[in-house]
Amino acid sequence: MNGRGDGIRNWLIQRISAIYIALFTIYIGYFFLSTELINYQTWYGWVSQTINKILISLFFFTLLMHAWVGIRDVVMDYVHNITIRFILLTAIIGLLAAMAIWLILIVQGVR
Amino acid sequence: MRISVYRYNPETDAEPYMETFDIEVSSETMVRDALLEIKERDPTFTFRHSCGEGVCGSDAININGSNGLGCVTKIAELKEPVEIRPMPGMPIIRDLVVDMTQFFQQYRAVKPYIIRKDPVPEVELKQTPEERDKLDGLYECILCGCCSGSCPSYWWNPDKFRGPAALLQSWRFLADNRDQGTEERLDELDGPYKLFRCHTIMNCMDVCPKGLNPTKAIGHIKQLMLKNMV
Ligand code: SF4
Repeated sequence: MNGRGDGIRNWLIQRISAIYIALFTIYIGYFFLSTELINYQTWYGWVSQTINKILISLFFFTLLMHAWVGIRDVVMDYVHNITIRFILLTAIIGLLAAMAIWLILIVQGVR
Repeated sequence: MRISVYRYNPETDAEPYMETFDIEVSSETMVRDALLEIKERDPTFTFRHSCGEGVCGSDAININGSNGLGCVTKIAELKEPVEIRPMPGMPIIRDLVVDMTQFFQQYRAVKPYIIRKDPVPEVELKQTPEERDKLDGLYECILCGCCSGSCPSYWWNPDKFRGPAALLQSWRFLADNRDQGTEERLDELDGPYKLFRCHTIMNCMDVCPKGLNPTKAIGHIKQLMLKNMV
C-alpha cells in the first residue's frame, strides 16, 4: 500500500470523481425539473437512451471509486491493527465490486 | 477569575485531575501570568514557558479547548471558568508539560534546510525581492506545535503523518528558489501517510498563534506534486 505516486493518485481520483458526481447531479436534477410529468414511462425512456446509460454507468463508477478512497482513508485513520485493517479493506473492496457488478446488470437490463 | 488547570504527576497520581484556583486578573493579564501565579501558590505545578512574548513557542497549551500560547492569550477575554490542559495528542510528562520528541522528529524528517546539488558558491545565494516574498507566511513558524497538536490526523497517526508544522516547513523549502531538493522532497512525502493523511480539517490555521496557514502550504505541495506528475 505504498506504491509510487499512491498518495497523489488517490487524492486525484477523489477530486475528479467529486467533480463528475457534482456535474451529474446537476444533469439529473435538470431532467427532473425540466420534465413536466415524471412517471415510470418518462423515467424509463430517459434511462434507456444510450448517452444516459453511459453517463449513469460513469456516475456509479466514479461514485464507487470516490467511496473507496474515502472509506479507505477512514479505515487507515482509525484501524491501526494491520490484520483487522486488511480484512476490513478486503471486505469493503468485495462489497464495492459486488455493487459495481450489480449496477452493470441493472443498467444492462434497461432496453 | 476562576481557572482550572490539569494536574498529573505520574509518580504520585493514579489519575489526572483538574485543580481550581481563583486568580486576580486585569485586562492585560496573560494566561501565562496566571499560571505563574498558580506556581507561586503551588510550586509543584509544572508548565513550560520562556520568552513570554510569543517568540519562543514554549508555552503551547490547550486553553478552553483550543491550542494557543499562554503568553499572548489575554485571560480576561476568555470564558469562565478557564480550563487549561496540556496540548492534546502528545504524551504527557507532567501537568501541562508534553513530550514533543515525535513532533520534532517529524520536523527533522522534512529536512528543514536548503539542499544544494550545485557547488555552494563563495558568496551568498542571491534572491530577488519577489523570490523572497514567497517565503512570507512560512519562515515565521516558531515550532510551538499548536497546529499539529490540534490536528486529528496527527493525533491518529503521529508516527506516520508529518503533521501541519513539519509540512509547512517542507513547503517553506520547496518554495525557496535556492533549494534544489524539490524532487527528493516530493518523493519523500509520497505514499498515503506522510502528506496525504491531511484531510483539510483546517484546525491548524485556526489555532496558529503566528497567523500562518499550514493548510494552504499543504495544498501548494499537492499542487506541485500534481504538476510534477503530469
Ligand atoms: S505553523 Fe503556527 S501553530 Fe504550527 S508550529 Fe508553526 S507557529 Fe506554531
